[in-house]
Amino acid sequence: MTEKDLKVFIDIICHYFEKTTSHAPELKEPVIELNQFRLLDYTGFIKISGNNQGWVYISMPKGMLLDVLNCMGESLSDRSILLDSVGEIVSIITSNAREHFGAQFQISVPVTSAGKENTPISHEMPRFLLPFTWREHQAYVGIALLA
Amino acid sequence: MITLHDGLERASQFDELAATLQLRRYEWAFLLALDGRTSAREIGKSLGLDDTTVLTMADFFLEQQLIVARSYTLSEYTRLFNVKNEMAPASAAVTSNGSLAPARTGASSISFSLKRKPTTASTPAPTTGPSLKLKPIMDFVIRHSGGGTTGQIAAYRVLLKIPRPLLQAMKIESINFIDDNFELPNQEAYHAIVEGIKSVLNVTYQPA
Repeated sequence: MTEKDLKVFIDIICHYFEKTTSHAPELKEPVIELNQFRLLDYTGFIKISGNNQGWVYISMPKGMLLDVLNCMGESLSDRSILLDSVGEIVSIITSNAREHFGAQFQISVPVTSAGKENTPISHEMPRFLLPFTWREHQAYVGIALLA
Repeated sequence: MITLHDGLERASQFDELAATLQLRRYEWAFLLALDGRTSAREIGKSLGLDDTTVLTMADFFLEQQLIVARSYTLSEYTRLFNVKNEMAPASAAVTSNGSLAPARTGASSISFSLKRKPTTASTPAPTTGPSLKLKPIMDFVIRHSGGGTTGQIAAYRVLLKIPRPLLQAMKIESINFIDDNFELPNQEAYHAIVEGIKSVLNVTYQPA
């Protein structure tokens, strides 16, 4: 994937929130994260392969996930349901990305995690971290590529 | 010339020279960890530094007369490193009072180490070369790749070209694109980025 493709991925994520909740996320200044992961309560990871191999992920606090679900008419807050929900969000983002990119890009089935420690990505991989605010919540879109 | 296997120690004029120095955090950590016995590689490893960084840094400190490569008498060597000298008479490996002689003041003046010609400078000279500030380099990358988020992702891909051990040796949590003060740790990282720009964007970096 080129940087333009990765930007499309970010646009797809932003578009998802805007379309589903009628609230557009606001992108902040990105940082390159080198050591400790900055993960929030719930994270969905999508593995990408092809020209570039790595991960795209979205990490959000529990309150944001509850608000997103609320916008979709759901009011459940059980941990397993929240985990399923973040999985569903990244699944929809993944299928939108597949639609855009076509068959030449390989995108895996999403992986989800709850908590700030669990990640399928090696800590040694530098990450491109794009913070964004959605309503009053702060969340992250992350990109981790192998060199 | 220093090797990674040398035991290094601070030079006698270290305190005087150090008072005028400004070094990076890991450079001070390295200097203060020198004990004349532990090898440069082992100290570097304990600080998370790769061999190239250690060697470059140690050579620079040697040139600035901040450190010396420690030489040992045979008796010091056998005692310090717990090595048996089976060819020598038993008494040869032990000093008269049973303690170690200070560095370079042992009974014998013979040393098999190469000695460096001392430099004439009495205080460390400033390093020369291109600016190690990251922001102008990242601005160049972002400018040449369309700007905005696309440009920032391109900058990330360029940073990925820095060898991983060098990135880890930077001992930082994150790099902010708008941080005016952030500096790369050394020329090696700078050259890795310049090469990265060429490989990712196919342009040659021109400092402003």
